[in-house]
Amino acid sequence: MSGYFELSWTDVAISLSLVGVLFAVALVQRLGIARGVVIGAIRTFVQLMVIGYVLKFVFDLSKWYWVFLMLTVMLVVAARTAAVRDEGRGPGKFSIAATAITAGVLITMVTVVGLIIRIRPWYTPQILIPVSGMVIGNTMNAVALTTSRFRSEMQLRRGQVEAALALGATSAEASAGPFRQAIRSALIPTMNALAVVGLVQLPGMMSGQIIAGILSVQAVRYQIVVMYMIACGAAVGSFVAAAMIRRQLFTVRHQLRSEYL
Amino acid sequence: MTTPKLEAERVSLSRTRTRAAGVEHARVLRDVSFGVGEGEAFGIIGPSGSGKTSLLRLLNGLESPDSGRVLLDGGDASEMDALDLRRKVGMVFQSPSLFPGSVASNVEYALELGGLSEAEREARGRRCLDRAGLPAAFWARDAAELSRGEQQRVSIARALAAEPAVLLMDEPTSALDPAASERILSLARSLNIDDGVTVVFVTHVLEQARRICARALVLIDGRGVEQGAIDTLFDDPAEELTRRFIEGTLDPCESGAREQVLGRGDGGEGTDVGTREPRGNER
Ligand SMILES: Nc1ncnc2c1ncn2[C@@H]1O[C@H](COP(=O)(O)OP(=O)(O)OP(=O)(O)O)[C@@H](O)[C@H]1O
Ligand SMILES: [Mg+2]
Repeated sequence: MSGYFELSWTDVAISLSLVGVLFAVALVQRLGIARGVVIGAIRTFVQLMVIGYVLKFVFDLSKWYWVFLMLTVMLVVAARTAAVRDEGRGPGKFSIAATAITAGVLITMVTVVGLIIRIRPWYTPQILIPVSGMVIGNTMNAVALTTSRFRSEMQLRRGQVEAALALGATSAEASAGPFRQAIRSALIPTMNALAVVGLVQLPGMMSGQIIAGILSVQAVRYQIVVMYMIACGAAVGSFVAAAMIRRQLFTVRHQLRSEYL
Repeated sequence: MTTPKLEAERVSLSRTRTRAAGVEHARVLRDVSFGVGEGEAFGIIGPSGSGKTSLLRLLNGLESPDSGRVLLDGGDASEMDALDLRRKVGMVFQSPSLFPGSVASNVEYALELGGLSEAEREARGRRCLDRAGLPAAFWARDAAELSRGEQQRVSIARALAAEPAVLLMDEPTSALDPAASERILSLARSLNIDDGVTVVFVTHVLEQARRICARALVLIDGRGVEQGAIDTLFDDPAEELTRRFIEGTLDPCESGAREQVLGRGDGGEGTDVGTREPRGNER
């Protein structure tokens, strides 16, 4: 294949020197992250190796239950990551993140598989897994941003929220400002991605094909669809997360539960 | 005696605080009872951290007591519609907490919730602004650029717009200079006397209570220490703690000692109320 430059394990080993630069900066500047750099570098290696084998295994077998298991694991990891980034004091952070991410991903994927990419069988792993992965990753970020921003916004504007409640507003009315602000700011990265995609960073799906020397108009179409999917997943995930946090932050008698902020 | 307009019946409240050391329960109100008659101005006085704000929050249902009841017109407040209760029992907070936007949007907020037409909203809103002693020119101004005293009057106008039967006022003059305080005080007095609004006025400034209220409750360490005619509280208090609070010799830190003076410390719970510290997020 022309234009395709093979990488050997030696080449990969040499590339370690690039992380070495980060390690050196961390040590010299005493950033306190040297250990994290080492662990991160090892994780990158191990995770990608393992995932390579797992994907090959799943692709070869092409059984719906393996695909399903794989997607579940991806969702759980994403939910955990988003939950850890939620600094609030309320309970059930994992289930909030998991519900919101799953809702965003499910709605998006069902639409896509049912109406747009129409892959048959629906679980064709070569398509379902990478495409879901992109949607899950982006939805995870949107959900994490929503939860932390909503809580901090509520903390900041607590006086106004309670003033509105005291005037007879419902919890939804009283928290409308923070609610909107949280969703808006959570969607900004996605909006930016839509606006600059291809201008600065080539999206993963296209990059892979370019490097492999087989860039096609198909890849471009896929990428466009993926960008729109990402937007849908982020929007649904963010809204569901905000609605669940709002539910948690108020009692049925429209009282603010400030201990959960 | 006729049923009081607003009544607290042995209300208790504890708060959970998350500390570095873990979760801590603090009882901020213990068995507090009092009644406020229709059209009365009732004072709640007590040192900082004694639970005055917490008590007010129970009265309009921003929080629910752990035990005890709040009664409005003789009916259990916890069985009323929460939003309805708050429209009847308005609240002016220690800090104005105005919404971002114009004075008009602040004053009209409660009216929008009530679904009034735009013209009605403006007419009623402007009346409330006038009632709160602000010139009509303030209507279109940005709430954020007002002085603190003006903001507090906007927040009073905002509360009045819902036409509450009872107005809870939580130290509305804190952080105001004497002249601005004076205007708020005469406004509170006039709302009570001229408009017949039942007022519950919280303050730690004794002279203010004396100006506005006929009767008051002395709240210390979350307990109702004494209540009655304000002049009696001042001139001839029955309780040692009331006397010391009025004289200004009540040490804000010696909670343990107070338990002894109270003579009804519930044994071993001396540290229950915890150390008082200003709430950073209040303003
Ligand atoms: N949200 C909260 N979480 C935890 N503890 C609280 C909270 N609000 C108040 N407290 C505690 O409850 C006690 C009573 O507080 P409260 O604000 O009712 O006092 P206060 O009499 O209004 O004081 P001040 O005159 O300073 O306004 C204090 O010890 C305070 O630290
Ligand atoms: Mg207070």
